[in-house]
Amino acid sequence: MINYKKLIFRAGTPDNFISVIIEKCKGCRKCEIICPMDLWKIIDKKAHLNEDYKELCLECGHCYSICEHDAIIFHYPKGGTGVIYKHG
Amino acid sequence: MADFDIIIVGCGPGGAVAARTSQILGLNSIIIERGMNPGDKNVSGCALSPKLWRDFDIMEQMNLPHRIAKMVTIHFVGEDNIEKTSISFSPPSSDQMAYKKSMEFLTVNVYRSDFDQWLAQLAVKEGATLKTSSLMVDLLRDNHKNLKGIILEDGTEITGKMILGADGVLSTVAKVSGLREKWRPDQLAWMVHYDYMGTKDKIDRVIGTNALHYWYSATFPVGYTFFNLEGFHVGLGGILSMANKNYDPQLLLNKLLNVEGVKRQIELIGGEPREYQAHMFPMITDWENIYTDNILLIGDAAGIACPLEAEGVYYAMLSGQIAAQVAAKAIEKGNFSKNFLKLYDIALRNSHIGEEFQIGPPISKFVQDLAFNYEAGKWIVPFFNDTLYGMCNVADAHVTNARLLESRISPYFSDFFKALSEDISPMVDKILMEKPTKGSFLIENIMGKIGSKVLPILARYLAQKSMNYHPGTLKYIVENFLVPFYQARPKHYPYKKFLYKNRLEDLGNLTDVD
Repeated sequence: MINYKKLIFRAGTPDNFISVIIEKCKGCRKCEIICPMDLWKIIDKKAHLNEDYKELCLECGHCYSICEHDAIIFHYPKGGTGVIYKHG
Repeated sequence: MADFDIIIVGCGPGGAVAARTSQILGLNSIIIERGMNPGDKNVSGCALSPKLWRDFDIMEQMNLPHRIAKMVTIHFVGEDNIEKTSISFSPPSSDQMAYKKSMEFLTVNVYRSDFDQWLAQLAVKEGATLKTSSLMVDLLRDNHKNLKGIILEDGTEITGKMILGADGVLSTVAKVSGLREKWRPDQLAWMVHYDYMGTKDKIDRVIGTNALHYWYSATFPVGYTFFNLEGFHVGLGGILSMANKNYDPQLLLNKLLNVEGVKRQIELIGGEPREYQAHMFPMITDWENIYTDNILLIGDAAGIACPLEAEGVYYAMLSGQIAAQVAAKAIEKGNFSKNFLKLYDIALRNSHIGEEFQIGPPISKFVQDLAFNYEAGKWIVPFFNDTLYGMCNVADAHVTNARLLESRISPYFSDFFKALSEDISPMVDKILMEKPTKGSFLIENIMGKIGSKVLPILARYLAQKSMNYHPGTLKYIVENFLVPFYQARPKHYPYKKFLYKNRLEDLGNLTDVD
């Protein structure tokens, strides 16, 4: 199994760029399934984002786009920070 | 007085071409890019199609590390994750419809980090301003709600007459302008892959120019191994709305990595995993809401990407060029209204992009049902394999094989006819409708409307019948479906000449809408 978490490159320190509106979350697990970095966990039927997400998130927006309850708020991190694809 | 004529948000291929075109048309443009460098945030298979060389003169100057793909192979993998059969193809040997570059290669594979930066440099060379590490967060409006420009995250205000949103699938411009909040999960595909490092020498010897491999499987949506000069991508994609515990990107990617043929390619090359990447791309059947007062959307931001192959770069570049031309017209006329900017939609419809989207809905259904839904692989892989086996194996006398063929593949007839009537026939109908004839009308109505109901029932009946009465079945299919279909087809499809032929002056023909 490839240790994918070692295979990402980043720049700077992003500000917070993903958040959850807990009241809207139905605990459907879609975000948990779709995140390619395994950054979501469902605890007590609510979505929780990994505390280290700012260091790991690939900014793909899968979680934001799959959430049909609009419980996930996503915007791009500060310019010049976040993931860098060297061989995209 | 505005700072710039045109503000372009996002410096991918679409944004860079839009900026370059603006400059050539005598306008002053700026590109806002959130990455430290263009390409930093972008991921793709990056197999550039010959269309780019057909339609963009700049491609002749491209001198980046690349691998030319002259052959594509599609591998068919069974439920046991073992490859069963494969097909390959190359550019045609002789084809009067083809243009020179399409005869030379299938694709040219490059990395986006190289390609996007090169395109950005071309725009800068023409005088465009490139502002990197800058995130656009909102639109700037005056007291009368008229659009004046954009606002960056640090509060900087940049004023401009036209704003082109080339900021990708999660476009901020689309969102803050009210054109689109976000796409539905069934309109988006996810993509995850590993980039592997390899040496040029090894990849030359193991892969050569057979640099595109698709992995069609019964256990994961279509995967790919695409080879560059000194590296390659191994990955796959699926539709967001299909996600469930068995349709999990990482799980499916690991299944692809466990296919013997994929492992063999990696091992022979000595490939080392170098980077893990994820991205989304739009899989919409037709674009809508891509322009409003002072604003046009480009490429992925507009949903303009090939609904079949998920090719995005060409569509971004061409829509970027057209958008810049339309923006230039708007500036020339001093008319930035949504009504005037409808010209953008008209120009797109009259371009090769419009041509591609003519059969958007049936193509999208075809891809979703048969490529992204790996359940289809459970019959397609054995059907295809067992047909070839039935024709060519040496386990029995050839005459016996020939007689057994129909019985061997008849278990798959039901699914085959269902796909033929529900996924393939509607697409063929649309293609034939370009030049309606009595025959295509017949096919459309019989095959498309009645056929989608009747054919699966008929297929099941035939499949059962053929188990103990086989001689008539094939003859029946040939005489009643294939022969009429062949006879009914229009005999000649002209290579459509488009009003918009990618020349800057062509837009003049389209400006009568105001």
